[in-house]
Amino acid sequence: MIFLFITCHLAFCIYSQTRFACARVRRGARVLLVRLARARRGARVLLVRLVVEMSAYDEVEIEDMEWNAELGAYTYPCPCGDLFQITLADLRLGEEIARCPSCSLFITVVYNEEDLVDAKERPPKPAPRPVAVA
Amino acid sequence: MEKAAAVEEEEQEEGAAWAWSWGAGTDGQLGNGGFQDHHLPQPLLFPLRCRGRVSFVAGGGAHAIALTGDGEVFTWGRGTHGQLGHGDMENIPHPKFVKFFENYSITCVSAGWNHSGFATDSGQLFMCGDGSFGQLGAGDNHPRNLPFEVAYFTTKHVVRVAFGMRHSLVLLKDNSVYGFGSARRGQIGRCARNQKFYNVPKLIDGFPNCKIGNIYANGDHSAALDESGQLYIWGRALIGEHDDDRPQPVFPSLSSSQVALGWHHALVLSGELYTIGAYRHQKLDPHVSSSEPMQRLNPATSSHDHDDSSSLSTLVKVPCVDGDQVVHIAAGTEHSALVTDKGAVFTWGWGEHGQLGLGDTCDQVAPQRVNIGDKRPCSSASVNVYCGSGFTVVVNSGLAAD
Repeated sequence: MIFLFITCHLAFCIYSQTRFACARVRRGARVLLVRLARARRGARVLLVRLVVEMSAYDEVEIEDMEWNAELGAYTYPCPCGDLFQITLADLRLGEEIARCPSCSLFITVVYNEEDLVDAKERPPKPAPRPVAVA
Repeated sequence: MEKAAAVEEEEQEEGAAWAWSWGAGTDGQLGNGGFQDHHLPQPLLFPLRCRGRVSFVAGGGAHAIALTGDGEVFTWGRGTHGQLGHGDMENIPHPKFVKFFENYSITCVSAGWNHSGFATDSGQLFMCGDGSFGQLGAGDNHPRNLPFEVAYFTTKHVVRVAFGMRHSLVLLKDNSVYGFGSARRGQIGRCARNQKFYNVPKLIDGFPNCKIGNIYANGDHSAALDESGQLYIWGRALIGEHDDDRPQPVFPSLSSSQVALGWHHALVLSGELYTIGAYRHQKLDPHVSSSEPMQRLNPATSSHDHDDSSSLSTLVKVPCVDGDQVVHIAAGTEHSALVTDKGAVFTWGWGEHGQLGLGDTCDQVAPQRVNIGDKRPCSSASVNVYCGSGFTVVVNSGLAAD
């Protein structure tokens, strides 16, 4: 009788431990999958960034761009003759690509978050009026 | 006066064309009367009296300046910053005589992204257009829509001007080279730290004892050629990866006769034609370094330690064009053009706006012949090619007015 009880207890223990282990393994697997997915997403983001950087026409610092009040955007000359453009709103959203409306080219804009805070407090200076020299 | 201008505008070529343009045209820079891109050569609407007299064309970001042999100046294209010098800010889709210079004889002109410069036979320098980066040399950063004389040079004799995107280079008769405008990439020489631009001309030193023959600028690059054919480059890196704020002698084994700068490449003519840099000129052909017609030379700079491992550090020989000699070269921002000794025009590089004139928007890694549609015999001496940022101009000046 005692022997049977011990056997049953042992069997139950083994069963519950196995279930527990299984659950742990399952949980572990799930965590692993999530991590894998995250890693894949990270890799994809990295890849996209790499491709963007590789196919970008150039990399330009925001301080080399000019504020164009008419367009409401920072601009930089595009080799086609038009201007690469990126709005302050887009920059604040973390966008770093300035596109040319006339062609397929784009540039990556290099900036610090602080530059944008500055830009908010200090409105970009208006372009000076033309001076006619007689 | 309005009427006279209108008459002049109407007095345009009616017979066979002798000047053509193609490429980006939305600001009127093709000078064909329209505001559209064209993928094939279009007649450039010079006044009839210019026929056979156009000696040079300077192409800027989206405007152009033509100079005649007797010192007249015509401008067209984007005028938003006053760069056309007519006293307004209008875009003009055809060459228009710059009345300001009626009583001057201009000998050299240059066009930057949005600024223009004119040197007179007496050595005066006049400028107009965008001055945001001090590129007018006026001591301020204001734009001008009429040419003004740069006070700094009134007691000096200016012989050549060459403008990049946001900077200006000036060569004086006494062999000194001055720069002003954006200084961010070393393009106007050695500057104080944190000095982003100079709006007053400053001397560019660092040239060895040599006689400078010509100066060149485009994008953030600067170059000079001395009379022995030695090339000096400074500004944004063309060779290696580091910008240079001192003129560096490069390719001492070459004796160069002509140089043309783009924004990421340069052409060097030294008997054979070579390119430095790449971008769209080689993008389509990853095996270009191993292909037969390309020949590489080391820059072997004398005093500066460039990164020779960079793929940009070598000259690449441009495949020969049917065995013909190259006599003229020109570079836009990302495209190139040449004229052969037989007067044929070839283009290659970036073609998205039709700037290659081949009827499509494809890029080309090797020179392709442009069909100008000019059936008359022409010699190399009379045909010349010029590039603006995204457009190309060809002038056959061998045809005197009938």
